[in-house]
Amino acid sequence: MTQPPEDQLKVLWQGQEMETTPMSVDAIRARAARFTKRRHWGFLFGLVLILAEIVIFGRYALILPGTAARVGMLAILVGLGWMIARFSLLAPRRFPDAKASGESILEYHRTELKRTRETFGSLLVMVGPVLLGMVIFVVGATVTFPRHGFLNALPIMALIALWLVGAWWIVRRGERKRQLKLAELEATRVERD
Amino acid sequence: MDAEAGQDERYAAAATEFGPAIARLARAYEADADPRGDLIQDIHVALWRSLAAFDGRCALRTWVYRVAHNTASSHVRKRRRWRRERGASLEALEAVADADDPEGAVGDRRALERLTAIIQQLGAPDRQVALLYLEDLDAAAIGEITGLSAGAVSVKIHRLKALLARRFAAQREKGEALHDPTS
Repeated sequence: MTQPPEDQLKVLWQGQEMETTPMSVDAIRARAARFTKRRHWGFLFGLVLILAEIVIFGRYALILPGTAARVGMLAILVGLGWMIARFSLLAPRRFPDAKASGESILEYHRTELKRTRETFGSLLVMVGPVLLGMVIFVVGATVTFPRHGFLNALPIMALIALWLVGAWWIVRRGERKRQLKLAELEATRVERD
Repeated sequence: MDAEAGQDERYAAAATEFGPAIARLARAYEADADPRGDLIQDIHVALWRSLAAFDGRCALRTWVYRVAHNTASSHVRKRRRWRRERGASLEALEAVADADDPEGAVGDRRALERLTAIIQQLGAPDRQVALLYLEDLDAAAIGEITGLSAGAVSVKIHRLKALLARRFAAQREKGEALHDPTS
């Protein structure tokens, strides 16, 4: 052996046979266009959802008896639109951002982790208006139809509370995991000269 | 139009020079052949897109490796959501006994498989340092690509060398030396 083993490994690594079929620029343009098209379809789908909810909930907002129930239904309507818009904006992308992809790897990881970090606060900002609308609607319906009593509204209120607790737990768990990953990366920064 | 032509030209030059390195990198990130093909194509698309923003403040090589690693990292993160696996650190792998292959690796092909398997077990940024080291980049160049200091890179390379030496020691002891292309 004339080379140290690690050099032999380098030679071995670089000499491995790879199936490299070069992509033409046209093929790349086509793939990039397909990606953009998929994103456009995603936006269109979100738009259709918003229109559908306007038709469904808007109709109820017009015909429901009682001002509070109507206001609640309108709040749900606005909240759903807000939620769909926020969701389509925050949806994960297939490709890294063209500019960000040229950042140093550590910076890229930091940025990506921060971008995907969900907090309970941001989740509430996203679904809060819908939940508030539901509460207003349920309270309004109970006031408008007192003989049905508060007990009828209890299951839906309990469901909202359960959802909130579940979402809080899931988000907190995800946040902790991302925080650990970020701490790992920050520890690497300490190693700087 | 000129900007687009420049982007295409830069891409063509980068793809010709770094195409094989991108394919090797993809192999280290993705073990399955089909998703690996997708990953290679994704890296090329990301590279082409990114070259529109390339301002020449770093070397083309640095840029290409950054884009390739970043795209591959995103790919791995998305796949891990389904597979629930985590990469290990160099320190953790060093601490693991070599019980997985008591017979030792036989021949270059096995050695390459073992090497790929070791790299695939690493988490970021150790995997990135290991890959760039195997591509024969020096500590300063690796530091520029990863964002680590040259000192930190040197420490990681030292650990990597120790790990590789230990993992391949059994092979050498058995007289099954790696093929030396220079001898």
